Amino acid sequence: MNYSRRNFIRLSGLAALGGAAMPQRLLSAESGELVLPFGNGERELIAYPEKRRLIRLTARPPQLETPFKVFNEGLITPNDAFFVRYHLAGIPTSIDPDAFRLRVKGKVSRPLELSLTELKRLAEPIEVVAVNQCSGNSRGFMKPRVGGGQLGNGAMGNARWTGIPLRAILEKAAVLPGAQQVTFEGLDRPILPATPEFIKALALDHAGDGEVMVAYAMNGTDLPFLNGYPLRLVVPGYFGTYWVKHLSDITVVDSVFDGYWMATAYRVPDTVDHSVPVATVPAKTVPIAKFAVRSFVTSVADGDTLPMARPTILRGIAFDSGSGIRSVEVSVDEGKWSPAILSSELGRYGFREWTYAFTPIRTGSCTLRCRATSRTGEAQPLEAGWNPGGYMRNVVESVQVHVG
Amino acid sequence: MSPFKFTLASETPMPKLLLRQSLLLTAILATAVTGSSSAKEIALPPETILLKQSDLPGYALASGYCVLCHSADYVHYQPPAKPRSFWLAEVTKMQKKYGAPVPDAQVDLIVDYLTSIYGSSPPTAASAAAQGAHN
Repeated sequence: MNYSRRNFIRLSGLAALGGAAMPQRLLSAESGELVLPFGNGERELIAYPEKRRLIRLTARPPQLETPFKVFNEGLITPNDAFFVRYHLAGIPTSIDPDAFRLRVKGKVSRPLELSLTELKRLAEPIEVVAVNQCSGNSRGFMKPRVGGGQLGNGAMGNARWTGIPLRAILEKAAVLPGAQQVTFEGLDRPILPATPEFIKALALDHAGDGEVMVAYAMNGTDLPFLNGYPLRLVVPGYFGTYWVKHLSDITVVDSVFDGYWMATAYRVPDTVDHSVPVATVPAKTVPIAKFAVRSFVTSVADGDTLPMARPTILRGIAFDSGSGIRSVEVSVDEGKWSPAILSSELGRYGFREWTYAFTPIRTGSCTLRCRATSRTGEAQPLEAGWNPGGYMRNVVESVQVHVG
Repeated sequence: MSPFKFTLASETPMPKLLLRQSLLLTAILATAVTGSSSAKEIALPPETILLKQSDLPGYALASGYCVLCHSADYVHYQPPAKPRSFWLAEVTKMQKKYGAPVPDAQVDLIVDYLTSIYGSSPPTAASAAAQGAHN
């Protein structure tokens, strides 16, 4: 199959897409269409509250993906374009910030019920520019395909988060000896009593490292409702599954939390690169944790045309789990890797911009690839890894352009 | 009004536990609400993708069990041409891990529907027989 990897945006409405192959639908006036470059990749573009039109993966609960061209608009992903991921359909749709309370309980000597005002007075706020990325970002590109949310590369975003360090909250509550982990739950709830509530856990040392944050602002304004208003956990360098939205309950526990969303879901193979041979079952798994290093070309997309014998400045982004980006290299038509220029860093956890002046010397089809290396020496693999959950894709990506 | 309101976009009646949670939250927080509510509210766009219609008996079952907890796009957007084992694993996961109240005896009919309509294979003889009017 020859899927174009370009995201074709068609805004002319649903009528143009009629025909036997289309799903049964109820008409939606605000819809557009976009095709993700893998089988069964047709998606609707729909505007949600505080959001521009985004790629809708699911309606109930809402899951929205950022159209990839947004990542070329700037290094900070705008709030109205930031991806949305929920697990349980009982999501809050009305929250009174005056009545909202953040509860801190469990193995602490002073349980807390903090209003938003009290929380903000607890300590000096901190800020971090950090990428949030869904564990299953890019799952649709797995070969062979695996079940789950069939995402393109847009379940990620880079924002400036403002909040109170979790360490200050834990200090205020006075964690008791014997504590091992801290669990986090938001206001979203399952529909059925038998469905596990969405609760995530971090080791106590990690939770109290001073960087993990209870954030109330994103890019200088309140969190958008669908990104976790009024509070969400920010865990720099870690996959989004830990960034619990509408955070309402922090519980210190004296064991390793064994709830479904830690012990069964969001597990990756316990191998060096968290991959296993395709279509095999890993012998041992661990909870997903830190991002693997990634990079993307953002300034051109599949199918774009570049001028022959004239320089084009290619631009893109790179990020890792927080060591920072040491280098990005670009390769043209499987040729040698040449260093790109890195721009200044907004923070170790954020998108890093790179640029590369490319002057085509041949007309016709041309493959551009970029490869990032982190400051710890972790480089993107040339061959894609695979795991049954479709997590942590970080292979070197390529873009097919035309020179002429 | 309640400071917390839970959305149930489908026409499904609110399960008792959720209702209890909602009422409990209301009771807990009622004392904290003073004066006029400053609640931030959102309204979600409607669902657009429905389960594909079929004469297979699994269609009615899927319409009852699968979309109780999630919209049909969860099914619709799965990779194309997946085998029966893929859909059986999905249905079993929903039943065993997420508590979907699917009777064991009806799992096969739902899997037949999903595999036939969204996956790789035609319905089994059992499903076709249950379909009655056809074949």
